[in-house]
Amino acid sequence: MRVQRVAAADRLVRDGETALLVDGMAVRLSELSASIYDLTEEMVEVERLASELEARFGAPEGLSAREATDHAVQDLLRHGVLRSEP
Amino acid sequence: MIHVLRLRALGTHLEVRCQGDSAAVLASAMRASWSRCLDESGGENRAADTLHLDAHLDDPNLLAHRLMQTTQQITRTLIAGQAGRLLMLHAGAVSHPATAASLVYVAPGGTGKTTLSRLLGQRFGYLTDETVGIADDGTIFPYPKPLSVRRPDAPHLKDELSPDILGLLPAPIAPQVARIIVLDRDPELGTAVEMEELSVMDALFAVVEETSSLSWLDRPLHRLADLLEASGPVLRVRYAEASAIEDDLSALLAGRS
Repeated sequence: MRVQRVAAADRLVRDGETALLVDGMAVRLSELSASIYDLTEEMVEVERLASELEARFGAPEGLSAREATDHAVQDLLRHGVLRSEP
Repeated sequence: MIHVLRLRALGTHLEVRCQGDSAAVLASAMRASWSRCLDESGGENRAADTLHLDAHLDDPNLLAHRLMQTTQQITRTLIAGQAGRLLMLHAGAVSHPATAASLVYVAPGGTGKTTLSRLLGQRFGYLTDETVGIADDGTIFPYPKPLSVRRPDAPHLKDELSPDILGLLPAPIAPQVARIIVLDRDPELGTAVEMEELSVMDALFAVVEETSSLSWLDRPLHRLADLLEASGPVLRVRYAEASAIEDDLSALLAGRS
């Protein structure tokens, strides 16, 4: 699966936290999700995204980098922050 | 015959054209309940972008219902007219009569804004119980609409009561946002009151749900965050009855004056 971020009306960063306004809805991003948003200006394979995130944050505890990325990506897809294609 | 009512509210002008067999009755009742918003300039200086709304009444027995509906339509029309210009919060507000420092209390509908406005409006200038429109520089454009008060014997119906009839103080010139609070009404609290300072991001997410047409603004999240920071810290106030927080909120506003 490949994913790409949806254009946001605004992006706000305060005290290390990120808020996006997408389709009239405000979404609060974790540090990991904010990085995914940064890395998806163009369509990107989730596998490649997982590698990039592991390089930035190190290996997650208790699950693989791919699994952690999948969870975050699904969450962002649910909130309309990302769009996907097979 | 059409009876035209000219209003000035939320920083813009609105003409309500009362029509129908009981148009005169409707116009007369609206003139009384919208006393604080009447534009008595005679229309000579009306802005080119004046908004318009039609209100219809045939059966005078339906007056209260029509007044209630018209209030809701006016609010929606004003909000649509100011989209992209003002930062608009679903909130009540009052203003210190001497300093124009203003307290904005953000809350969803049915959670106490009108009751609080009736209480605080006895000490401070009444700005609105519904929608606060804020310019870039923190100036509030008052919307001193009639207060919509639910009838005890018919909860689906609200009476539209003029702030003049209720004895609320008038808005001062150029009110400014001094403090923003988020109301969280919990009937279980009794007489207890809980106040919690929110971080800018927590405040933003508490307030953003109660904005109107936010996406129409330029850099909307930044504009909201700038306002919250300038008037912060935002407080979340948990309470059961408005009378329990009246003094605390008055002190809060006096402290910013």
